[in-house]
Amino acid sequence: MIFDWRFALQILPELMRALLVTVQATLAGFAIALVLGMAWALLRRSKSVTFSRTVFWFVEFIRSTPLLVQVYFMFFALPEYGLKLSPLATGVAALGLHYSAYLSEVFRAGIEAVPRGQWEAARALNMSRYRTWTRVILPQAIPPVTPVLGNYLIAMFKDTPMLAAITVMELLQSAKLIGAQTFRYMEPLTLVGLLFLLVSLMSSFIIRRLENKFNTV
Amino acid sequence: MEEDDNLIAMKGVWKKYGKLEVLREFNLMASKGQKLVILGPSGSGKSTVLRILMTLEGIDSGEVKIDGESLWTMNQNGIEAAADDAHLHRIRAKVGMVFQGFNLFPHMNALRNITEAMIHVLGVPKSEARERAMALLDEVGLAGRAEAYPWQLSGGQRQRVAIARALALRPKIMLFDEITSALDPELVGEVLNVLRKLARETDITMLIVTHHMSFAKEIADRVVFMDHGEILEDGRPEDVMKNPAHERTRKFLGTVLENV
Ligand SMILES: Nc1ncnc2c1ncn2[C@@H]1O[C@H](COP(=O)(O)OP(=O)(O)OP(=O)(O)O)[C@@H](O)[C@H]1O
Ligand SMILES: [Mg+2]
Repeated sequence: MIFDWRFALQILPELMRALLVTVQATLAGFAIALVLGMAWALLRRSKSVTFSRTVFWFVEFIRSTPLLVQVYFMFFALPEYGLKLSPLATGVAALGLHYSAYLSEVFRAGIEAVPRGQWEAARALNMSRYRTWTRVILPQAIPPVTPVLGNYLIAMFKDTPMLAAITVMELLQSAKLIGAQTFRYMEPLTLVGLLFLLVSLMSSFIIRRLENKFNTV
Repeated sequence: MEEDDNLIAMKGVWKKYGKLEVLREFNLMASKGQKLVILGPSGSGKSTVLRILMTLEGIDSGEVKIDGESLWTMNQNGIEAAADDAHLHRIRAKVGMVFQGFNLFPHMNALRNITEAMIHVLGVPKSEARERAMALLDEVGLAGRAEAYPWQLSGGQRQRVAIARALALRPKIMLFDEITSALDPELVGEVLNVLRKLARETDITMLIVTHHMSFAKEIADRVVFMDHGEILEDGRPEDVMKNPAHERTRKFLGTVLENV
């Protein structure tokens, strides 16, 4: 079988549409992961031991079960509880939840790296808890971990093909469909690989830039 | 009411870290405007005393009063209750602290370090806060460095910003915990000079932990010597330093004087 360039060019627009869906799913999923991840990190510092331990085990549970299982679970189990989401929304939610477990660890590490003296200075200046977090702690905790966050963004992007399992028209699903209709798999799958490579490289480049930026401060 | 004269009153305070008893039945009073130097060997509990007054540490038992009000308890409809955030917030406003390690906010320039709490804790309007911060920077000899970030400043300059930052909230009490210990010797003078000026020109009650004996003698109107969580000497600087009542004090003074 010879790689048919003309065929590849012909299916490119369709794959680009799928790429757009994939990127959108990644960005939306990552936004959810950021918010939830920060929430877990903060909740784990709760003064109530029962509460913080519950959060800890919940996060641990999400982190140690496969994403694909979570995707299936949400796709098939949630509707039984009356929560009917589109496959795409379900996939985005699953990605967000799964990665929030990783991001919470990243945020936790960032927060713990802020020296104790910063908390003490904030208290000595009589700053409220909210001000202490938003003006003193988080502005110091987050910049150093942005490159790590970026790496998780890329990892999440590479996990989007899992959503094919629940019929989301992302890149892989779209390539499979083209393959099924035309009996040619090599071109669409090669293009999928190339598109993933391209986006990942671009993201890595942006992250390196961020890294350099924060290293100079 | 003699108590009302005391801006600071620690009575029968116990403080433990695990099994280690750091303060045992500790008593310390300080009246308004007093410049009190606390001396003592490492581990004697000097920092602990200051940290308790700044509410950075709790106590196991005893009583701490600031400006006549109990720190850890409050009166709730005639019943004594544990202090809530609002109570602590109100009392803490009377106290400022400068740390050995500066603890400036590294992501804010000198000006922002000073205005941050002024604006968001005291509610001073931005332009006024800026003006006051500029005046304070001028006071500590850093008029031109408002835009500088902590990493662009020398240790002595950082510490002077930290002093200005604490002063900006206009506390009645200022706590200084070995604020020159992290500095190169040649930078110590510029920081001590700021304290001298403060002592001379304000009626702020100052509690100063330092190992600089000549500075202590010069600035203090009262010196306290602590060892193992107890006050052994308490008096005028010349008395405590020349004629200490305890052998341990003599020993301590001997070692520091040799080292300086
Ligand atoms: N957070 C803590 N946990 C356990 N022990 C502590 C803690 N903070 C202080 N200590 C101990 O309490 C004792 C008194 O400490 P403190 O810092 O008050 O002494 P200090 O007089 O300030 O000494 P130095 O001159 O070295 O600063 C020391 O033995 C110290 O090791
Ligand atoms: Mg100390």
